[in-house]
Amino acid sequence: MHTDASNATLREVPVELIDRNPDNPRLFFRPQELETLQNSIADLGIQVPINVFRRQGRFILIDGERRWKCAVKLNLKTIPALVQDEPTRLTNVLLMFNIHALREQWDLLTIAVKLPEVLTLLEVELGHRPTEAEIVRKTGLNRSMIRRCKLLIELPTMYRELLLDELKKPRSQQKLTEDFFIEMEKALRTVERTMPKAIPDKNAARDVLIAKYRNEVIKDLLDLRYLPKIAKAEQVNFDTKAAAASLKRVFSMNAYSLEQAFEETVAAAYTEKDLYSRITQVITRLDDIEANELEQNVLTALKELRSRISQILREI
Amino acid sequence: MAGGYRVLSQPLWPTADAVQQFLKKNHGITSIKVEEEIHKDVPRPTLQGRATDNTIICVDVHEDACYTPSTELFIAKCKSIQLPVRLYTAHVQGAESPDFPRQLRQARLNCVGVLSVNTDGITTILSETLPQTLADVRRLDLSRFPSKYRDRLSIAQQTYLQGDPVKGCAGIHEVMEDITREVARKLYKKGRIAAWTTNPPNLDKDPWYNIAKAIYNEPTFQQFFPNTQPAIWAELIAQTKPRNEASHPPPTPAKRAERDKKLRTRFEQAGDTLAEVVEVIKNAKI
Repeated sequence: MHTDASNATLREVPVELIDRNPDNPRLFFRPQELETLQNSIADLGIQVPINVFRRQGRFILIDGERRWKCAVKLNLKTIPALVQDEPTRLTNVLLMFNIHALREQWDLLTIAVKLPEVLTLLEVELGHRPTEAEIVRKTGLNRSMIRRCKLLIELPTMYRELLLDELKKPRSQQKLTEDFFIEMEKALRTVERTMPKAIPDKNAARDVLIAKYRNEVIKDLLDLRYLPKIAKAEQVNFDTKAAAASLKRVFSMNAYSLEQAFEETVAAAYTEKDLYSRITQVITRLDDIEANELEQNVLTALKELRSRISQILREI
Repeated sequence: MAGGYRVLSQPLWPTADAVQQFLKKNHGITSIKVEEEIHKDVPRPTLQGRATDNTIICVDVHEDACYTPSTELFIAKCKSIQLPVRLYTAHVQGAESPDFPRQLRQARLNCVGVLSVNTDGITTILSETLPQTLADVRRLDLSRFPSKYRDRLSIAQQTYLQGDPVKGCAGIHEVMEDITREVARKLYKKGRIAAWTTNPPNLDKDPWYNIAKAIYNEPTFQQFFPNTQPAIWAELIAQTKPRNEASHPPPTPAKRAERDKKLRTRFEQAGDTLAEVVEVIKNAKI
């Protein structure tokens, strides 16, 4: 990305001659954010100029859409602006990402929707499909964000539209979030990979999970993480047929929760696996310790552990 | 839908669209402007349109609030330049912030109407709006009046605050007139009324002005109203004039603002005069 802001001039630009940047992927401005900024501007004026470029007698926003909206609302006639030369299309889009995505809390879908276009423009400029490292460097987004965006981009259109409709609602009325879809997609991918027969129809599975989340059968987003654990039953030596049957029940319209499915199937096996891992760690640590170096409280805990272990072993 | 929102957040567009329907249906406004200027010194409301009474009805759309610092700024600006604006705020039903009850009280106190819009676009009025040119009126201190008049005066004040200042003022004048006639009847019983007129007076039907003027001109006025400045009774007489003025709807918003200013002053003066007259009657020797 190359921009030359050194030619920019500071001037008062008529508010009515300014248009929003069509490449700004931001879809929503939260009313509370605007209200707070508006009050500040009403009291103190606009302290930091906005950035615009000139096009056909009008000015296109690069940075400062919220300030501009507040200026319109407050009926200000002009607004201080740094006016610079029109950037190339790719530069304009990348400017939006670098200025906004890093500084403000954008909705992830906002970025996701715009990302394919950025990738296409980058491919033309670079002459090859951009690597993840190149995307990170050019857009200013981190790898985790890009991966999360990709999960949203790859959603079937109907689910992207569903999410978009949800994001249009006031925050208090939003139920389905980007995080829900990301967690759901991650979970379904693992299930699909490890136990493909459990999901004969992925969209049907999505519909069931969405309905269960809306109806609060799934109470917590993190409950979706039970799905991969059930699907990976084989790794904890649990009966895969029983796990598959449980998943089949999960992906049917009913009140069967993910937590219930987990508890009834692999929960005990995972607990045992966890216990085994901890015991192994303790044994490794004990190998490195001299008995006379131990503090009294550690010795007391060890004696308690020995007593419990003896009790368990006697019961076998 | 009209759309055209530049400032309003997209999630609130359906709410604003529903309010446009409300303005058409409830106020008969067909030409609704979106985020346009009403005056160079006033922030732009989300929606505005001119009502048949020549007030400008404005609506500011919020998500979860009904009275914010920007509402306050808007009404302060309208008042300072005497714009006959009736302001509503609209919000999304079910999204109310925890502070909403306090905001609603503030809105009512400042005569800002509050609209609650549900997801089906049905709009409910939580509080009515009054032109800001009338809103600054000093409220009646009902404790200054005898209990038998308080209910009528309270209704008069409500009528004013609900957007009918002419009737609101008339409500106070009616109480004043009743008091005048009551005083006249008492004086008549004491044989003083004969001196006022050559014909037997009709104390129920004679014009209020004639009766008030007769009391004022009574040679023994000070005997009945000791330590009373005649000017107080003169003020009461002065109140009989606006009472009889016909109320025609003002033809323009500017005329409307002028009339509202007069009505606001009239309401306050009527309340003050009535309180003074009540004090005079309390000490009267009749």
